[in-house]
Amino acid sequence: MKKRIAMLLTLLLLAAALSTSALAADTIVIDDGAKLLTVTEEAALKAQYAEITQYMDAAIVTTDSVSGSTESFAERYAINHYGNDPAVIFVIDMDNRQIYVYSNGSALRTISRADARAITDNIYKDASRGDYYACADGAFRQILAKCQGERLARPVKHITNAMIAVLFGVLINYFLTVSSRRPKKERRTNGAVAVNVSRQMAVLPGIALAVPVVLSSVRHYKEKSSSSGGGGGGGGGHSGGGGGHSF
Amino acid sequence: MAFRCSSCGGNILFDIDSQSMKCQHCGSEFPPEQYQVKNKSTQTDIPEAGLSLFTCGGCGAELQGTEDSAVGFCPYCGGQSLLQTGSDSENETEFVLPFQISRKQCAELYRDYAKKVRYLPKDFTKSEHLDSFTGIYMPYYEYDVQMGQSHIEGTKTVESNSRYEVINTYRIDATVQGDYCGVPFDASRYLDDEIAARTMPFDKNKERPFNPAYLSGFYADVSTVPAETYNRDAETQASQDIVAEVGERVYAQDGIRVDPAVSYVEARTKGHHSSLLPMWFLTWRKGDRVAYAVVNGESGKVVSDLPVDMKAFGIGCAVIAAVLFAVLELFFQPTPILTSVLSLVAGILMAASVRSSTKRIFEKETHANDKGWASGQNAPEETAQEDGQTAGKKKKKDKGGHLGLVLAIIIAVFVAYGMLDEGISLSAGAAVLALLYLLLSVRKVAGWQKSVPEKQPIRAILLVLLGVILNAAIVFISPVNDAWYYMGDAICILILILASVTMTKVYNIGTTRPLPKLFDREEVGS
Repeated sequence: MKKRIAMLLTLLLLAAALSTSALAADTIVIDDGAKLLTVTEEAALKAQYAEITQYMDAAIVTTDSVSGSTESFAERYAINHYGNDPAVIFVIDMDNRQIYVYSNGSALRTISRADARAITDNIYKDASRGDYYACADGAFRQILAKCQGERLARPVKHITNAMIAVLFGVLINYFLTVSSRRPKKERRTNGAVAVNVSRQMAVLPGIALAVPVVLSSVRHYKEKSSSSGGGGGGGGGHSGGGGGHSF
Repeated sequence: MAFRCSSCGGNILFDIDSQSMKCQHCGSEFPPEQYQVKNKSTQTDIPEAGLSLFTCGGCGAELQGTEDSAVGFCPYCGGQSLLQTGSDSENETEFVLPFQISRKQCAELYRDYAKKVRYLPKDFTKSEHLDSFTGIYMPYYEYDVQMGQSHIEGTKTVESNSRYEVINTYRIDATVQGDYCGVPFDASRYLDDEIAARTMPFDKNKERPFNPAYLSGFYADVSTVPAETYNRDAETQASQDIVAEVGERVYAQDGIRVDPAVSYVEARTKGHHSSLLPMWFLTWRKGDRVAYAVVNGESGKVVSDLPVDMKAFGIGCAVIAAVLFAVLELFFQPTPILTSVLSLVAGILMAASVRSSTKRIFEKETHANDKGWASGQNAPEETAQEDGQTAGKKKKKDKGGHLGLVLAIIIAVFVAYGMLDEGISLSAGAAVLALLYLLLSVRKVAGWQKSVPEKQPIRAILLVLLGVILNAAIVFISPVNDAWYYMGDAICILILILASVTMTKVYNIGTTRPLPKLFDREEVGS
């Protein structure tokens, strides 16, 4: 009997654990503090992008009161709700008028800071128009695509990179050319061949140095900048990052 | 005057390989001393005429030489119209250092040197151009300087561990006994002091008493700078040389590192003598600009103005830009702010460069660093001021270029750490700094531009200013719509690309010199 009860309890605990995990992993979290989405829109987003949760936790957070930057808000939210677990958080910050995609923990490997910037670059116009559903939809569509190994659209990246490359290509080439042509500093000594010298002997042919008199000798203690010291640092720490765009 | 072979009466020239006079007809060789002529300083009185004077029809340069010298190019403008205009019986040269490097060796040395220089115009290494090397003896004053009390300051690290180091600072006074002889400075107004200094050193041990025979087949410039012009420089030079020697050969043995900036040796010029030192001169001319290549005729050391071939430079830029583009595509996601700030960094670097190139052009146009030139241009105030300077003291330099570099690095570090992602404030700060620096640079360049005939410097700096103003406007307005932001950045970058091409042209002007106009030259003598 005791054996059966123990077995039952174990099964119940296992089922409970599995059900919690399934809840956490099955659906994206919508924390609409700024009341920007309707119930229908929330349901549609949850249904459409549940697949993201196979890769990482996901949340949409809207707010109209933020102390500090949108990035620090997103980071705090991630730490409080997900610790070091992989998660992606899409923030619509009405206070700073900014949208932000934050990747938490190992999710940063999938959605990098550059990806986050690209995602927000592609959807900020929806936020500017006040179409927050389209904005969130666009964000999660790109996040899902990235999770599935697809590439993000970066329409201005190529042209901007090309112009930066041309500008700095000219500059780098210019400074390399100029620095390679700069004359080296050389001694001008008039071909006088110096002879072997020892203390108080000839410095150059025909020139001798009399016994040097040390007039003063001052000691300086110069402390070196402390780069060592202290024990090893604590382990762990939080990792994460993202990118955003004002609207 | 021409030297004739005593065996066959043929024409005789100085032969560099054998260091003797060689008959061009029968090949007989004679020691140059056999052809001694009247010379004031040595008081020898063996018959033969003095030297001939040649005048360049192109620039007015006046050179000495034998009749055989009329085969070559004017070293100052590259012209070929050197005409014999008289004779010079007033030569007071005491010593001559005969050529040790032949024209062929000189051309090879120069070709080897030029091969290592990127984007040099191809003309520079063409055989027909290198055949134009003209051997010329340059007049030099060699000053004898009496040395006195030395005041040496140096440091020695006596103890060092991970936390601190103990450094002893020494101030050592000692008497330097002896004269430092033969500190050379060029006696020709028209040889740039910078070229003259960089061609050093010559081996004094190879100098011979003056004899025009050594000049057979070459030209010699005449002394046109008063000897006292370089008295103070000779003392400074002697002081610096002795400090360096004492530091390296005496105090270094005790581990004392001498600080040359504050150390000096009291020095007084006792006198000088005149020498002719050998140089191979090659002149490259483009429009109203010339570039000089000079090879030390004794040691083979090469000194050259190095213009940039714009076509080759453009290809190099394209290759670097292609590599950079590939790297950016892999690792860089541009944002409007980041693009703006990168443009600001580029603008500051370009302004610093235009500033430094324009200063160089200004100095070449006005011969600002050429005391020899100033000595004949009624510039007593400057000379007197220079003479009054203490040995070792340096002239105030324009530090604008360095400031620009520091600013650019600071802003670039901001970018590297991604601090600008935080928002507008830092990029706005960067824009303000860049604008301030640009406005100061425009003021400087406009000041120098007054003495520079070419308009590229002011164009370049104004283009950079325009780019930076546009960039700053974008940063301050900060349009939400990316289209405006990127369009603004694109226009700004295009302006800066245009400015960078103009900047390279400005640099190119700085690597060349204005075509000399020496028709007013007047021999000053020593």
